[in-house]
Amino acid sequence: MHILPGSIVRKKKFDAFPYLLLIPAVLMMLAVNLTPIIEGFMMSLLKLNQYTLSQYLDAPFVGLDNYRRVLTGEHSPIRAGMTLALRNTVLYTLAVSVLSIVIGLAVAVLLNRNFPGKNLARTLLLLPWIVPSYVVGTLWGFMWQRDVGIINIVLCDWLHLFNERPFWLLGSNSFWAIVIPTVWRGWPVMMLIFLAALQAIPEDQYEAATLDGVSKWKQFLHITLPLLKPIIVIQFMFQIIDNVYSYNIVSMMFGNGAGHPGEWADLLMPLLTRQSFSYWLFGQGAAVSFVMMMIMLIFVGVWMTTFKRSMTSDE
Amino acid sequence: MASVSFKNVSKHYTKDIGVINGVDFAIDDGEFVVFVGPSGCGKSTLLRMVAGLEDITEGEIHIGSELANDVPASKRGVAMVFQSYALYPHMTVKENLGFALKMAGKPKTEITERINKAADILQITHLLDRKPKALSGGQRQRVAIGRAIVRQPKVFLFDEPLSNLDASLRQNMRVELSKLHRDLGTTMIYVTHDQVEAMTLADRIVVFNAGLVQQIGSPLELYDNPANLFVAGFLGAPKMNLIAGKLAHADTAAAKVNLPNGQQVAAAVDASVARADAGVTLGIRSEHIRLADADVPNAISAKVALIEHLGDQMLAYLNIAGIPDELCMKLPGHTANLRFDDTISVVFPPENCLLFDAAGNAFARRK
Amino acid sequence: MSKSMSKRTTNALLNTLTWAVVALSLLPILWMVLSSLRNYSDVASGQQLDGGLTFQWQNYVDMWVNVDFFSYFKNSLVICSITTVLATASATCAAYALARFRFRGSDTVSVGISVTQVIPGMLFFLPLYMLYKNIGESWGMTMLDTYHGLIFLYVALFTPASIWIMRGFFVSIPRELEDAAIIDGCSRFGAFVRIVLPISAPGIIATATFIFLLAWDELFFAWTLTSSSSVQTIPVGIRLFIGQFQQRYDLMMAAATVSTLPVLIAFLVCQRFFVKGLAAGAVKG
Repeated sequence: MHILPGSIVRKKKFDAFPYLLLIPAVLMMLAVNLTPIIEGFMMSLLKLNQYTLSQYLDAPFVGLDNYRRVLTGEHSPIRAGMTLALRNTVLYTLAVSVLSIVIGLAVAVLLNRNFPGKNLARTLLLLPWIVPSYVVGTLWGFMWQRDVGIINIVLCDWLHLFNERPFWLLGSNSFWAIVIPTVWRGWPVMMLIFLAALQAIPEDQYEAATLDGVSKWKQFLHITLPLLKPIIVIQFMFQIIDNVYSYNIVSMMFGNGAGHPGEWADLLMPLLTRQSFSYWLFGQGAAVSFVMMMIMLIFVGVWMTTFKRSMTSDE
Repeated sequence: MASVSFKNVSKHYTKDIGVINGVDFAIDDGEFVVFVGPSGCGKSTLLRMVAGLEDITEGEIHIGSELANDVPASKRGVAMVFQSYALYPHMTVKENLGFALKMAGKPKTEITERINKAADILQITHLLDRKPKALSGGQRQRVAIGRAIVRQPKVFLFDEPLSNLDASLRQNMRVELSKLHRDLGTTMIYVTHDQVEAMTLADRIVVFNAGLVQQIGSPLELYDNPANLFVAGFLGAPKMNLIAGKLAHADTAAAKVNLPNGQQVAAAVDASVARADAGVTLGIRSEHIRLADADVPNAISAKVALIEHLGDQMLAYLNIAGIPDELCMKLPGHTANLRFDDTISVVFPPENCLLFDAAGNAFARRK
Repeated sequence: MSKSMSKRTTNALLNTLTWAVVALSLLPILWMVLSSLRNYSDVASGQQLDGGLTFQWQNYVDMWVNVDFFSYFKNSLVICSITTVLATASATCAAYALARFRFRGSDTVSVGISVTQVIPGMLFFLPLYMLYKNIGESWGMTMLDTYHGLIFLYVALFTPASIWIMRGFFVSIPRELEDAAIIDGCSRFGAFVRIVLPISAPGIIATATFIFLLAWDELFFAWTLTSSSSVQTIPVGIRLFIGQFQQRYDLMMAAATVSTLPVLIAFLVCQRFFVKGLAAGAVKG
């Protein structure tokens, strides 16, 4: 080996190893995510209806016309349902996220002690999450049935809470008809995560507080919640991202059985899918999707920067 | 068995951030050398550079007669014991010990033979079929050492192996490591921030600070003749007493120092190169401060602030008017009739005083 | 005396509350199974609870016979299993690279992974459809209405989220283990395979279960990218079924139950790892 006297400055060797490990994942992400985003954006600038669809990217260029039509409602069936769908989606997403986190946290606190059968309870509580979302839609579609659904049977025949059996799949009740199953399916994971976080809090913080005479509720407010804040913040963001594009439950509960979701249960993705396919308005569908994606990206960006300091939590 | 030499070794992460800044010395074959220094001084990094786990930005490291810079870690003939032992949790002790040999393709019989021999030396033969999580801290540490022995390396590398053990266990293991070195005779490089381990285990100590070697020498050499303030303060417990003062007069035999309280003390050092009135630091170890009668020349009056009894010795913390810091005086046994708030007189014998210049470097002591 | 008694009462109350929550939470599932085992007229009139213990297993037979359920079931099983294996493998490798190495572009990749989660399916449905169509036409390899078409898409869809989970696992393994392996003679890939992977087995199982669940749950692309029952998966089957047999709740519930069984079994088998894994990975954020 040729040895140079004195000091040798070594150039940093190019290390291919990490890149090699990443290649499969990155290639797939590029092919399946990046290209379609770019093409999707291009689509949103084209007039893509049943006549021009076969031309795909060579279809006539209409610039921001799709966006304009969607926003102002000109010749746009998509626009027609969109105000309602947007309102529903925002309310739905917020309701589901908040409820899932609150219930998840409450049950996590409940479970954060030692009692016989704890592991069994935890496993059983996770089962709703395992149930596929389309099954949830189907099942609860059945449960919400006015005459034969179990919910009305319990509420009316057993508990006599209502004189007249309410419609759950119509009217404003239908909002809760989609929120409740989603929460039912969603809070177990929240509970699991919060439970792990709760168990990571050292006992001595609580012991010190008890010695100081602080009540359990105050301990929860002033010790537990601040320590959990980073996790709650992140999970809230994940919940929003998960639920804003919600499709399966609505689609199975209304789409092919009970008909159109109606004013209060129509969400953005079901609406878009329905109208784009029914009216062959893929350009507009792409436009709305693109705008939604931008909104979500901005939301994530703002959320992360606002809470970045609290998420790198100080012990 | 091999020597290890460092020729002008440096490591930078970026142009400005240098972790090791030009280290140049040699370790003899069979020596037990301890790298000691505060956290972040670069000692672990240097050890890892010898192991082949870190790149060498500049300079050369030789193991034996070979240049090791580009040789991959497993081929350097070194074995390392990590601070957290790094035992493979999914393998039994036997498999842990034999892993490296299996990787090297050694025949099964040889592997078994070496494993048994190492297990014998470390008295872990009864643990061979257990998994690491079923072992105590001390046992895990032995397995970690066993893993190194099995490879019959040219150089043993230890990265703070005793830090995770509790105090009494640490002392036992220290003694065992010394005996191990005596029995095997292999070159050992040991990194620690604990000066007791350094003093007791090393043939020679290398003191590091901020990526630079402060001093190299045998433990007693470094204890008696520290090259600078850093080494003086690092070795020895309690820490050496250091008092800032001004040089009154110096010749080759002695230097007279003006203390902040107005008194003058003589130190048996050659400070003739320094100017009069230069800022200097006087150093004297706690065991060298002498009780004296008040009328002895050069006696310094002090008040006892605190007394700590350790049974075999006692530490008295003294306040001297005009000197900002407390001094610590070590006395044998627990007989001296000292109590809190007593006023006593002490002297600093000149032959025990060290003197450091304004830059922190020591003046040579008169032999 | 009274303190320990009130403590015991509190505990008893909390236990009752806990199990009440469990029961309440499981009711819908129990209802689903019960309804699937009653005959049609009882179900249609809401009288399933009156049947006592007579179970009508015939519903299940009917369901498999009336609808080509076996085909859907097989398709789901094959597609989801293969997806799980491939996605776990690629996610594990990528996660290791991100967890252990700092290199140019690692931040971009991380951000890219987060971005993929925010993309609505609708946005890239058509481009994907077109891409598959083009590949079929230009290169002669049909992607639409095929197993491999769906599998490729699923693997690409579910790998990013899984990377996050695996990365959390890898970060929690001390680096010294890999250092020791390297000194012992492993290459870096060898250290990864022989040391890191066995130790991360719980995490890998948790991730694999997670991917299987996601794949099993996927409806939109299964619906839009397939057209023949030889490829269509269970969600598509159920959707077609509902359109066809609107009032046959008993059969619907039977189909729902059967659809839930595989993921249920997968979960119960792996739940030990899953619970530990998902929680740990998530807490580390």
